[in-house]
Amino acid sequence: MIETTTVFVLGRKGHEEFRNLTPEEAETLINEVESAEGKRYFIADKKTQTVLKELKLQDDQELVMIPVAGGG
Amino acid sequence: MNEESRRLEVTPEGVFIVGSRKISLSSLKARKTRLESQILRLHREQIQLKSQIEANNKKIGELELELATFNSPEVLAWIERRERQIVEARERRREERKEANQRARVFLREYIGEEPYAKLRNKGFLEFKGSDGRNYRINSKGQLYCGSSRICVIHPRNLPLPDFVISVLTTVKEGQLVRR
Repeated sequence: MIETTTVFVLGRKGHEEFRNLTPEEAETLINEVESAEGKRYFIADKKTQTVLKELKLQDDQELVMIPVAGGG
Repeated sequence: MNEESRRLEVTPEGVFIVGSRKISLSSLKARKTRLESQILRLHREQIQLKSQIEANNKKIGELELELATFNSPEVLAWIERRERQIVEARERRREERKEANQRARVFLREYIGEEPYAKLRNKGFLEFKGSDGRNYRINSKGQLYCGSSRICVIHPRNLPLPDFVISVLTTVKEGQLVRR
């Protein structure tokens, strides 16, 4: 599998970028971040800026994990 | 002799009226008893104070011994090393936050596009439509408005402001802003 997936995490640790991941590694990372932080995230495609309803990972994707904002 | 008498006394320090009063036997005895008990009480207090001083001296000795261990060269060196580590870690975190903010700014520009980014920078706010069809406005401080009403949104700690702007934009566009 080609390592071309990038995941941007807009999270509690600050802005993080994980480059050159395989789709499987990206999926693992996304799941780990979600379970570690215990927060809801939107997974968006950076190029199209659309929030993905279902995670279908392919090569050469740039994904963004956007935390769901909470109202006060 | 009168029961009470007063006379003037002239001394180099000044002029004084000096009075004297006859005392009965019972008053005399009572006064004597009072004086004796006062002396006794003060003696008792002195003994208590002495034992308190001794106990305090003992405690001071113990504390000084304990303090000496805190002032040992090993402990002082450890404190110095730890304080240096804390300062370095703080510096590192500050640097990381600065870099993260820079990356987040670049990312926001790429993510929302050149034109909206320029609007946010130049006008100080960005208008967009929410999933409910209403017009929203977010300013460069990350404050969200619907019309003239400010909507309270929690800014998570450590989340860089540009990332927070994306988070609020996406959440409102997706209709997921829930009041907690």
